[in-house]
This record gives sequence, C-alpha cells and structure tokens, in this order.
Amino acid sequence: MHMRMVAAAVPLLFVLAPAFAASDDVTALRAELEHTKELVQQLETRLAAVENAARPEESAQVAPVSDVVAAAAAGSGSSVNAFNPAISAVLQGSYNAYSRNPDDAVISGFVLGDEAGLPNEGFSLGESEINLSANIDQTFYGSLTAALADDGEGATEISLEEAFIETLALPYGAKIKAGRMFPVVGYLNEIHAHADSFVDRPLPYLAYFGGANYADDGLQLSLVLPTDLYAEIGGGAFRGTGFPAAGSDNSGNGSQTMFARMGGDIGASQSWLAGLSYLHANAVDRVTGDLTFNGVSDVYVADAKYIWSPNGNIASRFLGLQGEYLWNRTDGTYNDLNYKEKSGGWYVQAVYRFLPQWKVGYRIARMTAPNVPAAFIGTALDSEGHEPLTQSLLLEFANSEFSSLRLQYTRDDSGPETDSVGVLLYTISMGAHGAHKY
Amino acid sequence: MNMRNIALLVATLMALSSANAGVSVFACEPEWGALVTTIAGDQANVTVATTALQDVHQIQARPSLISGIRKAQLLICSGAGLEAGWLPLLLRQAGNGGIQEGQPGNLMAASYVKALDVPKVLDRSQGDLHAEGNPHIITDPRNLRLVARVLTDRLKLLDQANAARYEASFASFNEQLSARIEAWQQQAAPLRGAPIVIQHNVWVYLTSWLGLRVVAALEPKPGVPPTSSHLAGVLTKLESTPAKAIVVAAYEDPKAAQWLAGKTGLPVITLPYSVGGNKNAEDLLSLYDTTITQLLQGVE
Repeated sequence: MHMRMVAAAVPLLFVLAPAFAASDDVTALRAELEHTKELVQQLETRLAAVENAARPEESAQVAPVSDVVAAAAAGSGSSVNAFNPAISAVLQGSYNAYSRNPDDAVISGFVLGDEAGLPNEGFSLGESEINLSANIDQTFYGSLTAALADDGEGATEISLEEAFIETLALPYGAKIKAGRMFPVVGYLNEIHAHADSFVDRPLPYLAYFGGANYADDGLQLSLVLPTDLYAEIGGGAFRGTGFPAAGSDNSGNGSQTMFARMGGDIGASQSWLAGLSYLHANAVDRVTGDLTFNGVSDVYVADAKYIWSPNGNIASRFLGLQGEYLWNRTDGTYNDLNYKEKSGGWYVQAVYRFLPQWKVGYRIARMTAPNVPAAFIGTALDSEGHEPLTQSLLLEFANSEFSSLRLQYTRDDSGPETDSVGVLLYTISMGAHGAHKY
Repeated sequence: MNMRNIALLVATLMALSSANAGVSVFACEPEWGALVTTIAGDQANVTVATTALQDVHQIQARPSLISGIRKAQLLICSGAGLEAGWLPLLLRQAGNGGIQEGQPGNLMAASYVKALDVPKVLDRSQGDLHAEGNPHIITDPRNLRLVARVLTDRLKLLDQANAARYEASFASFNEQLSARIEAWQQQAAPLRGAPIVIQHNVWVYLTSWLGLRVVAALEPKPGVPPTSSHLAGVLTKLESTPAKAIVVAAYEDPKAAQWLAGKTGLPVITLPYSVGGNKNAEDLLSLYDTTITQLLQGVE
C-alpha cells in the first residue's frame, strides 16, 4: 500500500471510529472502566470501614440514613432479574353521578364510536391497564399495553391497546415505530387516557376518535431535526381498523397520518409545544347504531401547549394551558345515501397546581355540528341546530406521583338536553416509574 | 484529480473538522455541566437540562430537552434512578444511538462511586426509593474526583484529537481538588457529630463525608411532601434529641423548614446543593467552599 493511501486511511479511521463505535476501543474502555470501578469500590469500602470504626457511635445512630450496602448494588447487575422488562399496572375506579340517563347521551350531529358512551352510573371500575416495556437490544425498544375491562355482562374483556417496537439508534434522528400504536394525531391521541388531566376526553376527541384513542396497526416514521428548537416531522401508514377508519378492506392499508411539531423553552420557567397533524381514514362498513358508513374521513388538528412553572419546578407549582382545534371532512355514504359534510370542534383547558399535592382545572369544549343533507333530517346525524358544548371543573389530590384522586364536575350540553355529570376517580400506578411526558 | 487525491482530501477535511468541532454534551444536572466545562473547556458544547433551583426528580420531558439529546455525543447524568421520570423517555424520543444505555456516550456518574442508602427492601410505602442507592453523589467532592476521571476517559475516546488536552485539564483539576478536599476536611472538623434536621435525603454523601448526624427528616418518606402531622412528630422528637440546624436544598420549598424554625428557634441553612444554587456557588470548588462555610456558620 502506498504511503499516501495509508496516510489517508489513518485519519479516516479516526473519524469513523466514534461514528461506528469501533468495538475494540469500546470493549477495551469498558474493561478498563469496570476495573477502575472495582478498584474504587474496594478502596471506598475499606475507607468506609476505617471511618466507621473510628466513630462507631455515629454509624449506629445514623444507620437508617447512611447505612451502606454496596454489596447489594454490585450484585444486582449480574442477576437474571435485571433483564426482566419494566412492568407497571394502572388501576382506576370511579363513582359517576348523572342528572339524566347516561345511556341516552349523544353529541348532536355526530355518530359515536364504541367507547364514546359514558361510564356506568354509580360505582364503576373502568379499565385496568398492564404495561410491559424494555429495551430489546441496543437498537430496539418494545412496549406492550393491555387493558382489562368488564364487558357489562360479567365477562372480562382483554384488549390490546398498544404493542409496538421502536428503533433507538437510527442515524439523522430518524425513528421507526411499528406495530399497534396510538399514532401521532393531535396532542392527546398519543397519551393514554389515565394520564390525561381531566377524567374524560374533550368533545372533539369523543366525536372524531370514538371516545378512545385512535389506535391502529402499521408503521410510523419520524425525524427529529438537528435544530436548537425542538422540531419533529413524521407520518405513518396503517391498516385502518380503529375508528374513524374501519373495515381494513383497502388491502390492509386504510389510514395515513402526517405530523409536524415544534417546541422549546422561554427561560427556565416557561415551555411550549405546538403541532399540526392530519389523519386520512378509510372506512368500509363502519357500523354505529343503525347507521353504516362507507367513505373517507379527513381530520386536521392544530394543537398547542404552554407551561409556566416558577424555576421549572412543576412538582411545586405550575400553570398549564392547552388547546386543540380539530377540523373534519367526511365524504361517503351512510346507509347508501350520499353524505359529504364538514365540521369542527375545539377545546381549551387550564390546569393550575397551587400546592404540591393539589390541582384545579377548567376545560371548555365546543363542536360545530354539520348541516346534514335533507335525507338525514331526523336521524342521529341531525344536530337540529344544536351546538354541543361542555364545561368541566376539576379538583385533584395526588398523594404521591403514583396515586391521585380526582373530582370532576361537567355541565354537559353535548346533546339537546343539559346533563350534570359528577365523577370521583382514583388512578394509581404500580411498578416501574412512569415518565413525566410533556 | 485522481481518486486517491480525493480520498486524501476528504479524509483530511473530515479529520480537521472533527478536531475543531469538539464534543457536544448533554448534562442532566448543573454539576456535571460544570465538570465537563472544567475538563473540556471550549472544546465542549454543553447543554444543561436542569438548574440547581429545580427538583431533578420531577422534570418533564420537555421539547427543548429532546432537541438537546438529539444532538449530543455524550450524555452525563447522576443516574441511580434520579432521572427515571424523564431521561428514559427523552432517550427514546430523540433516538440518538450513540448515547443509549451501554454506549460509550452514556455516562451515569453514580455507577462509578460507592453507593450509599441502597434500600434493603424495595417498597413504595417507603417513599420514592432508588433501587441502586442514593443518587445525590455530588454532595461529596471525593465522588467528583472519581467521576472526573471517567469523564476524561470518555471525552478522550469521543474526541481523540484533543485527548492530551483533556488529560492535562484533568490532572490540573484533580490536583487542585485533592488539595481542597484536604482543606475542607480540616475546616469542617467542628461539624463532626453535629446533629441536624434535613428536608429530603439529598445529603447522605455530605453527612457521611463530614460526619454530620441526621436526627430527623421533614419529609415523612422520600419524595412525599412534609405533612403537618409528621412535622408535629419531628417537633416532639427534637425535644428528646435536639438538633443544631435545619438543612434544606436551594430547590426545596422552605415552608416546612421555616415553620419548624419558628417553633424551635433553629437556624435554617439553605445550601446551594449544586452549581448555581446560590450566588456564591459559581463553580464546583466554590460550591463546596460555600456549603462548608454556611454549615459552620449555621451549626455554631
């Protein structure tokens, strides 16, 4: 080999080495680090022993605070147990009071998906959720979430909420998520219902996503841009099974999404996030009540969130403002009659933590119902000129970050007659430490 | 120009650009940001996720942190579960392969020091416990020395062009720090055995280093805010086991400590905890200077 080639190769290797994490260097470094760690531990343990021997009265008195069990920490890394996935369970239970019969609840002008109905009157368990998640290897993360609920007839229903894998180490900030997931559509759709501030989803989510999260099976690709301001773009293709999609008869590729979002900080005390997203969903024989829909649904969402918290200490005090506007275009047939309409809906909410364990909140949500074609007058799709509106007040007590008790009052004008809804809900999470998603 | 020359040119340009660019670092806490600056100087472009006035247990995975993690070649955090509520989510959302767990770009400081407070039983009825031990290792400067060594090795690996410079900075910092540790220990000799009340157990490494004696904590359990019934219990306990001062961190809500101070007449010592926690704690060395000075003033 010519010297020039070698000269060229050497710096090239140096440059590429970190990029490809040259295994020799890493292995050697790890071994060295492990060795250093061992030495340090031995020395420190000996030092501690000497120190404790020098002042026995102290080590006895301070025992609960500074008791040293270095051996336990050193041992835990090698146990088989350490490879188990993180397991967590979320338990919820509520007491619901309604001034009208919850079975008659409607949102004027909209058909509702399976889960958009109200929870049972009186004591109600709702959904219990189990999650398993772990890094599978250095390139993949996996997560499985199952929900257990009573089907109302004494049997237990298990539903698969999410089961996805996600890449951790693609270049250029790219990421692929595959499997069943809550795709990014708006701000709330990605978030599990138990993590919401309020006990129920706001009106536009009930109307357009059937009450639960829009969940579907497919692939989502996203790219976090290398900017100082957070900026992410992405999109997905899905089978098309979750409301508002249905049927999955489009060669199993019935829904598509796109999203873009940005966010950042304003000093240490303020932060924000804003996004635009789009869902295109095909429905084949989607049945709700006595109406069967065939056609497409396009949902456009603009969302924004802002948090103010003195010095960024959200645990002590914060004010969170959040709002979304959803715009929908439906084009197809209900029971073989042409239906082509536009509608919209929005909500705005404010949540204020005034003491570390206490929060209050207010939310207003409103829909603009579509003007239905003459053929649909008198059906569930006819709003009869009513504009659905709900206003909610929330009081939350959280004993720790793992348990909360929420009391919510809603004045519900989503149907032609006003309902007053009171909910007392506990939510607890056990097991692996949950994340504080923004 | 033939292919060989092009290859040479490209390689040289790349080597040059990497020599100038230095390392992009994401530090979870201000102490690690300060340590990176100490060792790497202007070769490092440091993003610090939190301030000394924030409770690091309770940080949201904010958008700005995702973009910070996305660009980082090196991540340095306390570890031992301190960032469990937000860091794993950020690592997933940013999808940066070089700083995932187990990669050389991922440095969890607590893994390189001897852990104190490792719970024998893991049960959340005992509060928000950290299975790997107490993560607040920064309160003992001897830990800082150990972490500085590991950090220097990582910087050398990630930015080989500047390896000699990092090693030299480490040697000088290590010498300075070792001398100061000796001095601090002598200065703090009167603190040995002094009984104190703390708010949350962030001080275990400090109390173990200087021999302070913790007689009570204002939080009933780690991570659970002080309650009036628990504070009444602390007040009763202090009658039989008197303390000399109440120690809180700059980021902690001082209400409970002030209440107890009003009842007992004990001084409240608000320690900076990390770099930037008060105006005297400008860098790592002044952090310990002011911590010891404040303790000596308060406990006397």
